[in-house]
Amino acid sequence: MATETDTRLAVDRFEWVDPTLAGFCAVSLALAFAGTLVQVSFGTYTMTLGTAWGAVFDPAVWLRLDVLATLLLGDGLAGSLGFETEYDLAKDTLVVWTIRMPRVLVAALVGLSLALSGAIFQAVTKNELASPFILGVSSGAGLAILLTLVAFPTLSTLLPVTAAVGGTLAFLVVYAIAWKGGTSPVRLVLAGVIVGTVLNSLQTALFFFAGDVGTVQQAVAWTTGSLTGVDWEQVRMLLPWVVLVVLPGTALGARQLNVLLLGESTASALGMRVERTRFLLSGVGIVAAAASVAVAGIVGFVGLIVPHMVRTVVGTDHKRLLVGCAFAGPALVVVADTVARLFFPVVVGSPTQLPVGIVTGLVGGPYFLYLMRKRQQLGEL
Amino acid sequence: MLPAGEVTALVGPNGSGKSTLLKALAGQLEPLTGSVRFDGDDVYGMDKKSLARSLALLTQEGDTPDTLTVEELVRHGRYPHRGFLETLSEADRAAVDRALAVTGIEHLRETELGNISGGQQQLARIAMTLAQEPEVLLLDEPTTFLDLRHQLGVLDAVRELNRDHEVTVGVVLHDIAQAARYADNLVALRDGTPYDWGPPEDVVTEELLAEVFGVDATVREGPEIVPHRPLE
Repeated sequence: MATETDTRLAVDRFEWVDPTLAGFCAVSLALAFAGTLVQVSFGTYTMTLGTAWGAVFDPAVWLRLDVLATLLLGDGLAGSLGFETEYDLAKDTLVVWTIRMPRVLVAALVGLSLALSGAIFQAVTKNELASPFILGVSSGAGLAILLTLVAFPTLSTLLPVTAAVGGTLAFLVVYAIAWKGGTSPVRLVLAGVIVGTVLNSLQTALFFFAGDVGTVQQAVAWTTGSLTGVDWEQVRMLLPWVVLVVLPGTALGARQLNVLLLGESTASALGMRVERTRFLLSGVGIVAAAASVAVAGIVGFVGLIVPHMVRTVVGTDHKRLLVGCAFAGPALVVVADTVARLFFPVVVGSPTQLPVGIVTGLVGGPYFLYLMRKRQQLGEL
Repeated sequence: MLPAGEVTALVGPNGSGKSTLLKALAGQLEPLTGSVRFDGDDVYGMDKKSLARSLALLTQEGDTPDTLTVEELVRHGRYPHRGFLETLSEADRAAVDRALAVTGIEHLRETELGNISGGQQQLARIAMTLAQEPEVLLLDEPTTFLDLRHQLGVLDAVRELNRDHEVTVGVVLHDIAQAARYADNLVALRDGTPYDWGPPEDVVTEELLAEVFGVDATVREGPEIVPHRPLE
């Protein structure tokens, strides 16, 4: 009897997973995987897709704890934990796993964080035009990063922290400006646009104080969003935030987001402490956005359009929406980064790499225009 | 203010403070002076979730997501009964089923809110407040924007709840004639202060209609109101 109830409850816990959602996630996964294969097979050392497949699933990596630990934790930490950090791998595997795979992983993590962050901010502000960019979080994080690079280059290892601090400060300022005995979606977005504009001006101003051309180039890469040159170090930087804060936060927040969507006074009448809940959820959104800005700079449009695309397929229920975003976000950024890295080398034959932010912008802008034309109303969720 | 087990209607002209008073009663808007007590406890000192387990408020917010199904909406009424990580219990399901049955919208269970009429949406929202299993139900203009048939449907559902489940009801109504027919008590407000309160037959007088509503009208037995013209 008891087990019967248990199974039923276990089934109920996942009753919201329907074929549409499962199919959507499967397609996203397939896209992300196709992008990955192409990404890891091309480059100065090119291999066939079949070889790439073999290298990605090389048991010499997956079945050896030492190798995985060294890649994920880094030489120092893995070594001090007693893992063997010296190992031999086949050449293909070595190229894929040490040079090209980290870039794919960072792209996936950035896509995941930005998509979830956007979905959270859209629900919290009850505004489908909201995103970490609109609310000033990205600009704040970006400015903090530029300040660190230009004024305190010695602190560059602390970039995720400074980014998070900058993002949080910017959001607090936005919240404070919008606050008038409570907040409203429109006030939040307006305040976000104002603060974002000021912060962007400050970012541009900082370019003039940058000592050398190298710093300026690095800074420009930040503000357009680029994954060029990312390594396992960036994976190690991003992964803890995603696993410890972003994923648990969104998993716990899904139902709260659903209730928030019913409207502020309804949520409050149901016994929710609305401002506190909003603030905590925003915190999760800030961490997600800031962490990805710290490793990849400001990759535009992902936080705005991914939740939209997912919503049109799976609906507004946040359990479904957030799971969909967790698959679609990585798919978009992995594919976009593959295009960004390989478009010019493969099509034109020149070695130029585009920043991924330019590709997401080129895809995102028109998609958003299409939405605007197709839908009667855009704005209030 | 709201006698237990009875239906009390707050009436008054636009801007007289009906909705404000209801929000204050619901623990949504703390009054600058005075206090709101529920069974002797100060509403503003109570834990919000435990308050929501005994007192439900139907707000005027109607912008629920269109893709939500009726059942999903009604399930949100269980929010104050559920812990942070709990799934729906048997008791939760039973409460949802009862709420759907009382409001007579069981057949719409799987239907999305975007595909039903305004009146049915209102019934679904009332069902959500019923799923809270409150002792006191406060409704802010539940019949505004509905056609006459749905107005009567909503009011009948509320009346039935009160009679069969002994729920105390406080309701803001625009239409004083409707309020006089449905409520056990009326509270008439003018400029933010109660003008008169009591059973409809005592409260509804030609003098009140002139003073509070600015309307010249005849009051017949019942009380039934026959309005003639606005007073200058």
